[in-house]
Amino acid sequence: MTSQNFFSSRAAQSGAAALAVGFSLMLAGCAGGAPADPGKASATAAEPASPSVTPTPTPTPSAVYKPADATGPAQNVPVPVLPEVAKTETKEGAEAFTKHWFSILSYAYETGDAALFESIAPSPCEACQKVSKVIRDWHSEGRWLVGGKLSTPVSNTTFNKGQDGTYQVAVQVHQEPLSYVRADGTVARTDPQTPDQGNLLVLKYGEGEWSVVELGSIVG
Amino acid sequence: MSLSRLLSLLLITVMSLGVTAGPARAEGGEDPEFGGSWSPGLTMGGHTWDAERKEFVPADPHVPSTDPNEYKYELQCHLGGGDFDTPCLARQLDCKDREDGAKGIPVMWLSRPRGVPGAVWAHHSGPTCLYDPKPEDLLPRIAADIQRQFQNLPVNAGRVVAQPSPNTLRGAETNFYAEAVEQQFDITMLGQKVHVVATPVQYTWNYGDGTVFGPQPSMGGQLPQDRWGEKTRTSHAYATTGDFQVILTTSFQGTYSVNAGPPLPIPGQGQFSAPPQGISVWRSLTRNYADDCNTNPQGQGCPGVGALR
Repeated sequence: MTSQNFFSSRAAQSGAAALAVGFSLMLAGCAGGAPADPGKASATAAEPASPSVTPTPTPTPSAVYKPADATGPAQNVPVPVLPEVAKTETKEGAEAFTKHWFSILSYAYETGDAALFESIAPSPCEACQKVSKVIRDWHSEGRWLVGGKLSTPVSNTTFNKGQDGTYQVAVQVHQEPLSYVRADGTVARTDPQTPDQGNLLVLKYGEGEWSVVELGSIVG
Repeated sequence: MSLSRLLSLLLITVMSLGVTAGPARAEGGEDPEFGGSWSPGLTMGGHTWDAERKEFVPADPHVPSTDPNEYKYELQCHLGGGDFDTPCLARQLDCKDREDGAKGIPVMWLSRPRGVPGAVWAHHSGPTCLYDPKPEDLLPRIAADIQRQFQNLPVNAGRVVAQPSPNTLRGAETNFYAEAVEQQFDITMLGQKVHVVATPVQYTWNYGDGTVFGPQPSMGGQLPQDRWGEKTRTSHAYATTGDFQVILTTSFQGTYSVNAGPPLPIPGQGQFSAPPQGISVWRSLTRNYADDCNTNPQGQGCPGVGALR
């Protein structure tokens, strides 16, 4: 754990990411593991190649997505791309945008880059602020999060426009158990697996895009 | 180390360009706050589907919340029809047959949020064991009977406390509160061990003078003696004197778990009443004791003058 080692591994990582996916991902790379324990990360990166006896060792492409694990934060997490249909004021559009909204939140958990999520979170949103803060704190000073990835098996709206011009979308949200890893690699805590939740997103469409105006849970 | 520190500061500066606030820094060595799992239900109001308005509406805060999920189980390693996953069977939970010969069958529990139309079943917990020749419809059979079983459990409705007691004054606010707690029971249904947890959620006060308050979610609370007589959410002022029987009826919400499976909601609430608590309501009179018995021998407290009541 020398500063030299730190410098080289970080620089290589961010550089590769930037080349592959662009500037925003470089920021993500920084946020995702800026002061990550370099010794561990580089050791595991080298592992698959060294004990290999195959004559043609295939070097791992640098932009390959790698989820977070006990050895380090996720790498090369693709930035969620808003599908074309999610830009339309249609039932399918509202449902697709809702799924996209959760993939942005999932991206924040994986990378520590909560900026994108904060830009699309409604205000006020206590739950959003809470997770944003935890994500930032636990992706700083060498710490990282494992798990926490979100998926949305079902997104459903009646597509009835309310009097205030909003639409309600019910969404089933699944989250992988979230583990908090300290800079020394010890797991500080793992949140228990919770059942899939029902969330309610209240959406508004304007100027060619959807936005979330309110968010809540569905209790029955 | 100094280079690394400098670099991390630089990185954080770069990062801050794109964000609204810099990362919060914890004290050296201390963990930042936990609680990062996504759960808007904890801080934001719940919504329920309103079938008439065909939209979600904020849930009534006076109605105790119920489990937002529904549950089912599947035979472990069952792929559907007559097909089973062979590798899975090899590491299947070993449910030892019971002493009475009942065959143990491992099941996996699934759940899905009730309120989302078309929600899919997702793994919840397990495997756990069921003991029944027809485990497929065991849960519906238990579910059909659990409400009756629940209502017949010796659930303690709670203790009734009145302040002041056992005597109080006509027209004065008498503070009533309940001391009801969560209770757990183990019963046997259809040969399965069923664990029931009963949680008090609503209270109905029958003050014995024809006044009924509730059901409502407050169990009331204790008042320090120097505040007796204050109006509280559950206090009552008797208009007449006499002896009254106060009856507390507590509504409990229950969950049941079958052979250590997940806690499943018991539909409906169980009503349980506490034994009647007697209270005597007296009247109070204000008398002036400042008279001089020499000038007014009939004055209150003078020798030979009748009792107060």
